[in-house]
Amino acid sequence: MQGVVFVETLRRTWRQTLFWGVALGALAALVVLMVPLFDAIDFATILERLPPIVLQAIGFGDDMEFAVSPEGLIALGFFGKMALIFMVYPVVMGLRVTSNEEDDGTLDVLLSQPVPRWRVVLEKFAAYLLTIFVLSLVIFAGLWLGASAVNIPLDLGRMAQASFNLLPTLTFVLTFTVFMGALFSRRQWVLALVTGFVVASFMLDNIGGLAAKGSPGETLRLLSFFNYYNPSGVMQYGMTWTNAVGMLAVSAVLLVAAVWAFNRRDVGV
Amino acid sequence: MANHNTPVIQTENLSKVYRAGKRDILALSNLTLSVRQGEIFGYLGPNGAGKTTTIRLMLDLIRPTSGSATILGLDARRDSVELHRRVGFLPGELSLWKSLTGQQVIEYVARLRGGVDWKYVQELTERLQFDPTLRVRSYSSGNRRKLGLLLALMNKAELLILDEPTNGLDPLMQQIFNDLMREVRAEGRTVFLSSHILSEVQSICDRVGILRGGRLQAVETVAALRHADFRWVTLHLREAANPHLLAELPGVTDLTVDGSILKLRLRGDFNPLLQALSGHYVVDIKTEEASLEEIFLSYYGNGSNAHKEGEPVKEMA
Repeated sequence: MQGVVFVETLRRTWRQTLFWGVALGALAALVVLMVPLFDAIDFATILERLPPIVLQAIGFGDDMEFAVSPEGLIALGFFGKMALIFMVYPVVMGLRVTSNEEDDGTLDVLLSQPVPRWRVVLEKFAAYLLTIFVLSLVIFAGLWLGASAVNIPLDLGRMAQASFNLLPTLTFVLTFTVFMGALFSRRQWVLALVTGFVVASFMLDNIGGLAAKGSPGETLRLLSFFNYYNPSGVMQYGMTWTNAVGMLAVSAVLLVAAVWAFNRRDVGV
Repeated sequence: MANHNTPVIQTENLSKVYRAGKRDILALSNLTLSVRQGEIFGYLGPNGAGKTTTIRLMLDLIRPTSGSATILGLDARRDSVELHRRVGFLPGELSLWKSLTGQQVIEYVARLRGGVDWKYVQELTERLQFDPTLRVRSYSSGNRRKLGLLLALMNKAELLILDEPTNGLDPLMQQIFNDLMREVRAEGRTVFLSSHILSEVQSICDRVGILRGGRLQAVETVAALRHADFRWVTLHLREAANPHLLAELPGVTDLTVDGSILKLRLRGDFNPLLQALSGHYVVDIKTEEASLEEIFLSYYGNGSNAHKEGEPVKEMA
């Protein structure tokens, strides 16, 4: 029956999404609440004393004026440094599409019902995608609440864009996890491959950020999906639509491939 | 009225080879089998014989290496969704969503199937003495099995495919299960159940397919299988027994005498044995059901009488 898996997935997930949302929203609010502290300790002067390579390594690039602004601190301190934490959620949810059920054995019961395999994958995926959207909303709400509490002039439009800039990246990680789950029947394999991929991408992006212009390190950075996430750029100049659309297009291709692969293979072996 | 000659399940040279690293493991070899409408068909074989593989192939959970299966006139591969609508399935290793209550699992599956007769669900719940208010994680294995049975039965499917259905059920519940299966048969519906326990199959099945090492050895009526059946009997007499006492008795083989203790293999009824012992004081009688492997060996020898690949399967029904 149409929509049953979608509704059931949401019913089982909403509480966990709420916990994640509250935690990430509170973290967002906390970072905003900490912004006045950076002014108090004259953070800009401290940064000026650091060598450029150290500034690059901790994520503060050439534009020091933006880096020490409230938006810059939020972009770097929250959206940048905590990017790996955000990625945990889509991996956890992506595993639930097929891997967890297959490993637990419940997929046998589900797939022996009159529901095509593609529908199981797509309805679950759609439900988790919706929770990612909700998560972005809650993060934005956290930022807004934090800004209201400390009364600092934040560009809420940019805050909203930075929050929703998470969507293409989280969607990509969700889809990549679903794709791996469609290819492999063992949850441990899927988890190991996805974790390895995300961590390697993060490292590639960070190391690439330190590399000299035109060096292989900078070129390799293009292979990391984090390169297209770029929260500082979004906070400074607004959404980079080519990055967002590109990530969503790759996600769509991965999703089609996942449905195709899952439809063809043996389940539970 | 059921047409008992209509094949509800028809497999043609169905084979499955699993790949484990560089090794190929033959799980099922050229299975050609026909199950008729309105019968309870037992699929008998020791663990690892290929019973679950057959069932998973029939339900399109795994794909055949070669051959085909037609269930209720539908191709198991191409028409799997429609097929699932008309089949009730109980997996051998039943796993259900642990965080849900029994009732939530029932409701979820009912929604997936597009509705259910709740009166019948209530009736099944009562007959199986199942409490649906608890979470799945808190159920004993027997209660999980009851829930699995309920899910398989609740839609009054035309065909029930049950993998080791009585695993974990107590004797009383096994009796209720047998009654339910007889009712299903009386309604003209078909049951395909796998088991590794001969007595279970004997008590309710009309015909039995015997599987061994991924190959179908024979399809027998239960009556024919009874003929193959035997028990191990241990008699404890008060005085030392004469070794010749039971040696010539029809149905008795493999007799060993150790003082007052006699061990023998008995095929057929107990009465001739009891009559032969009429002048003796019997302290104790112990019987032990023969294992499936022993029955195979007894009936088919060391595989010499068994079905060879490529040969037609012996059908005695």
